[in-house]
Amino acid sequence: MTTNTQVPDPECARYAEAIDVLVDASDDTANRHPLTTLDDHLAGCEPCRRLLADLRQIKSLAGTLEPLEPPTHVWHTLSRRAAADTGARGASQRPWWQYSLGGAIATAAALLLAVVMTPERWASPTGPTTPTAPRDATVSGGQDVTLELGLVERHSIEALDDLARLAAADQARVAPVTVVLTQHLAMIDGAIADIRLALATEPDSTVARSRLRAGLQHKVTLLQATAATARHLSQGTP
Amino acid sequence: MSTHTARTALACVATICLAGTAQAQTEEIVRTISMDAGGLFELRNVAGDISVTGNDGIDVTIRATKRVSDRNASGDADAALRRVGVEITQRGNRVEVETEYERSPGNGPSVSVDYEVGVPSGVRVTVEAVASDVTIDGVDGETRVEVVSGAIQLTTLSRLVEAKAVSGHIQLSGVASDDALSVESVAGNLTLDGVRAPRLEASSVSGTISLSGVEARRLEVGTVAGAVTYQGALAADGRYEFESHSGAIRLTVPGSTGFELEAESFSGAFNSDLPITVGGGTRNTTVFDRGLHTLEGTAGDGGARLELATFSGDITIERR
Repeated sequence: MTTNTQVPDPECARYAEAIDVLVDASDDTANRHPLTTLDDHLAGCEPCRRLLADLRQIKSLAGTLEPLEPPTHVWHTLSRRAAADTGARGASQRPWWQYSLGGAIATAAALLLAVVMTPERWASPTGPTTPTAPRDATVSGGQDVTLELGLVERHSIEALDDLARLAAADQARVAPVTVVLTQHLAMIDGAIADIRLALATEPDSTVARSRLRAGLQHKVTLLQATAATARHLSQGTP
Repeated sequence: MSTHTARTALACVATICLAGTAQAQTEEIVRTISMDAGGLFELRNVAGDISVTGNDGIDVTIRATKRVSDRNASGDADAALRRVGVEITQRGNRVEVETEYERSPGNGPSVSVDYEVGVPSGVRVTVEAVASDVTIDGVDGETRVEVVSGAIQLTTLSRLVEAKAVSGHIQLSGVASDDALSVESVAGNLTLDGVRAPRLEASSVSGTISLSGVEARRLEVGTVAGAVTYQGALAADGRYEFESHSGAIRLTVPGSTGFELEAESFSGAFNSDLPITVGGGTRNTTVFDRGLHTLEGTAGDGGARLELATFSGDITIERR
């Protein structure tokens, strides 16, 4: 894998939670948060500035998508995962990489979920077979969804990168699981590519569109499994 | 809340044996703890098999076997065993068992820990493991199992909530749930036999999903590349959703079954032994109409709601 996953930095770990609060907070809440020291840190830390910018951009773009109700089981699983992520242990006790991974995955999954629920945006048949976005699909308001999906998929690859790093650093038993997740992500991307190809020949096919939704939902589920696996392994590996 | 922690030394038996050319050494830890029905038993393991069995007693019995087995690694096996701890903690009516590893500076022998646990049948059970085969039998309390890599086999459980694996088959037999039951494996097959739950979700990416004798008024089954088979009745007020990308979907139901059908497949075929009434009751069909990839109609009294969807997999409804 070729992504440039950030190397954990103990200094950054102190500010990880504050960055997440800053992203999630409304302006009023953010103004009440003691951010002076965070500002100082951000001024001198390029990785944290990039993380903050990424998360803000994802949140902003997610907000432009139509709010449609996800299937109950998808929402139920997301909620449970989120509760488990935040409730199982204090966020401040988590290592930096894990914080970054969990936040990125949760945000990416939420964004992807929003995209999944808007099938008309995915009528583009031009998507390539590798996990990248269709080039000519547009969201309401004329925004290109290439950027959104690119961010989602970049973060999903980062999750796998984190697992790969765990495998290299800790023990051999992590590696096969990482391979399984990577292969199955590729399998789902292959399925999605099949459907896009079908849409190229039958752009009005309601069946192909509904299958595309299902394929993207499977991808959300696998992203969740990836995040959960990273959590398991970070807690359990000797 | 009283806290009582006991490290491993309460009852240890260490044995050494040689098997072929492989070095193998084990250390056994046995603990017995009284626990009331309704209590919570939690087990977290990294590597090693886990067996939990419900019984009529009032004690939790834990037999943990640390095992060194590594044909290639060099180093002190005794030291490797010492670096692995079995932490057993009781807080009120809750017992937690966790395998803990000390970081070792080099590549010493690997150690796994097998657990054989007996619990009062009314106890709630949670098992989380990284690389473990897990079997649980005869537990009436709420049960949850999550494994990264390993098979899960669950039998005769009254309140299963979830069973999840990344890489491993999941097999359920004689299992019930009060509420929603979720069964997921990314790369493993799911085999559910005699499972009863108001709501059941079963999903995999590459694994096959086989359901027989399932009683669920709300059933959601999904795979990407695996095949799906369902054998059994459909509740008249039930809703059943099956979807797959490339895997086939095959349902075998009693001939008297009534359902309202919505089926779709982009390139897969549809075939039904039961006639599907379409066109506002004007005619029956058993396949997709020529040039169409969807079918909406009813069979029998139309009681259950049945949704079947694939991209390229075939859909078949057989009469039992």
